Amino acid sequence: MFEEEYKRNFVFGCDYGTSDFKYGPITVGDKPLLVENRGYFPERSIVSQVLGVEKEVVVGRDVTLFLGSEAELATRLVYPMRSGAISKGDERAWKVIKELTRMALSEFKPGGLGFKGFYIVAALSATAPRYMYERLFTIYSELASDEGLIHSATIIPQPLAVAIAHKQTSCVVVESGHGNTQVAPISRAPIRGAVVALNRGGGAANAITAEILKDAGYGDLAKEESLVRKVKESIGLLPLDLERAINYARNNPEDVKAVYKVPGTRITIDLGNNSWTRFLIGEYVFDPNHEVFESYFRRGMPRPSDVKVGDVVFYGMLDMASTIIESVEKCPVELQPHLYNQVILSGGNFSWRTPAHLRGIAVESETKLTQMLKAKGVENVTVILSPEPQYAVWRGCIVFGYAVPAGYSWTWERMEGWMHYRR
Amino acid sequence: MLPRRVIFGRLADYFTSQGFRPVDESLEEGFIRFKSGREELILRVVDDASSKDELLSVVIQSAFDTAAGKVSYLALPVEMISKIGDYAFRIHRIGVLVYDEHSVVELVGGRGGGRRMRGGETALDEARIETMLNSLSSRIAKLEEAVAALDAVEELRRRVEALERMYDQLLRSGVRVEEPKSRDTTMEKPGEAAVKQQTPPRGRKKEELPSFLQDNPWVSLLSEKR
Repeated sequence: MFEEEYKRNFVFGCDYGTSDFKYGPITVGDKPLLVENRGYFPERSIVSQVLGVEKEVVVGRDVTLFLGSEAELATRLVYPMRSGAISKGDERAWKVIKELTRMALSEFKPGGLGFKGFYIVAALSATAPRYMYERLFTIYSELASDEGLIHSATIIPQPLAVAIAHKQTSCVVVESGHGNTQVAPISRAPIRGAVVALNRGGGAANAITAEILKDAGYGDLAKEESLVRKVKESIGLLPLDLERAINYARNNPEDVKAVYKVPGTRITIDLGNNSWTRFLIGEYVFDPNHEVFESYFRRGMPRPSDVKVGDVVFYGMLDMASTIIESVEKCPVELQPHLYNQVILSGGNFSWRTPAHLRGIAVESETKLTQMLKAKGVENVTVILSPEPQYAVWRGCIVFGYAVPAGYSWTWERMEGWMHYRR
Repeated sequence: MLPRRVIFGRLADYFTSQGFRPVDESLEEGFIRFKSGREELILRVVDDASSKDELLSVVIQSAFDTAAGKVSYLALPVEMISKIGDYAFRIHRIGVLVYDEHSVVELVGGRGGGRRMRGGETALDEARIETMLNSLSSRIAKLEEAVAALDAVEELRRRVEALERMYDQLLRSGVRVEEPKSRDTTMEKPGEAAVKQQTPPRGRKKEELPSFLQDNPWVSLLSEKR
């Protein structure tokens, strides 16, 4: 009884995303804290030792102190996650994860007597291999024994956390990050054997945007990744029907004219006669199979390929609707209508502009996906876009930690429960 | 190797161009003291001829200067910084200038990240404010702990009273109730009491659950896990 009360006060959520690390205890409110998921490895020298600076890796807000010395950033600044995964032997990446976790827990560690460590709930990609779970538990064990920061820990798949945050017990979660997209059916628990993943995410949309910029004569700017991302977000459109959108653009060039002024600079990007290509940016994420993309592949843009990470195949060219169908059809037939009835889209990759004058031509992700699924014969589809996708995973972690009894121990067969470090 | 006087001249020019004026310097001891309004800046200079011991001595002096609330800078030959790195200087807010035969470059800002406050207020004032804030935070934390302890005692008193009322009602209604061996056994164990006294981090009460927890069907579903 008292253990339950204690746990509910000290549940702590950790969402290890590819770009950002979101963290915070149940008491922090509706939104977690957020820092970039990265670490800086400063040069170690005798001067550092004399001044008592012993940290091997710097994380969190302190990293910005080092961003002035650009020459060494490439080797010293480490982003540990690549498409939601960390290589088994990437020791520096794991050190960043450990230091971020230590920083997050220390920030909220209360003073006074009675603190026995946090009940930490971490979320990893649905496609994370088992060694990531093992390594993370090892890190938690070290933080528990060295600093008493952790009482117990558990790890859940990110799509389950999204479903929990949205209060849906039967649904399909489509989580799209920078490097990939995971489709995970949930029915009171993740249906692990039905997860299907795509080797396309926000990065793919950036890639096609860079090609469009090159074709429009801005090849020099296409090399700057952050600028390309801003251009994508500013001018990228998602067509309801690509063929129709291209025809509309050719007949109404002024309506689709794409001009982007880079804030704080004299640079203006004008796609001119190529403005119709802004429809390709959104389409490429949802379906890269249109013949128009072949010309980009022929000219050197890498075609998204199938890759295998652990036991999971990440499909390169499968369209979004087919991916959802493949995932749902791995589930019992009786369950399938319930899953189609609640498809949750999560991730910034699903936020597309819909200018009023292009209504019906450029649409939001929900409309596009509903249309694609209907075209493939799936009726009674409800697609919703997560209203605050950046916080959903953390919120799901908090609910999970709050509700799962403290006595429910971790088993590798079920891949759930609490791993206890302290009794 | 550049003569020390030439190096000093260039470094003095660097800070002069930023509104400081040299007020004291010693080639032998390797420092220049500058002033700008109420702000005082000490620049300590290391050159190619300096030994490792001399370098460490200068670094330690600069750290003392910074700890005393002064603005402290260190000037090093550019090839030397690549050997010792700049991490420790950033952490300790010691400014670093690197120089070669042609130029002087500020690698690490030593004046509160380059931010200035109004009037003549400087990093010294910021440090004082930070100290005061830390002190106040510590006192508030202690007060919160004391209040939490009082809350816990009040909660225990309320529970005991409720139990006593229930006990009396049962007796009055004729139910045969075995007398407890000792009232103490109904009390929480010391460890459990300590948990009750614990202030939750960032102090939000359990009753004030976040909206995503309220009416969430997963709560009852997950709480059945055994």
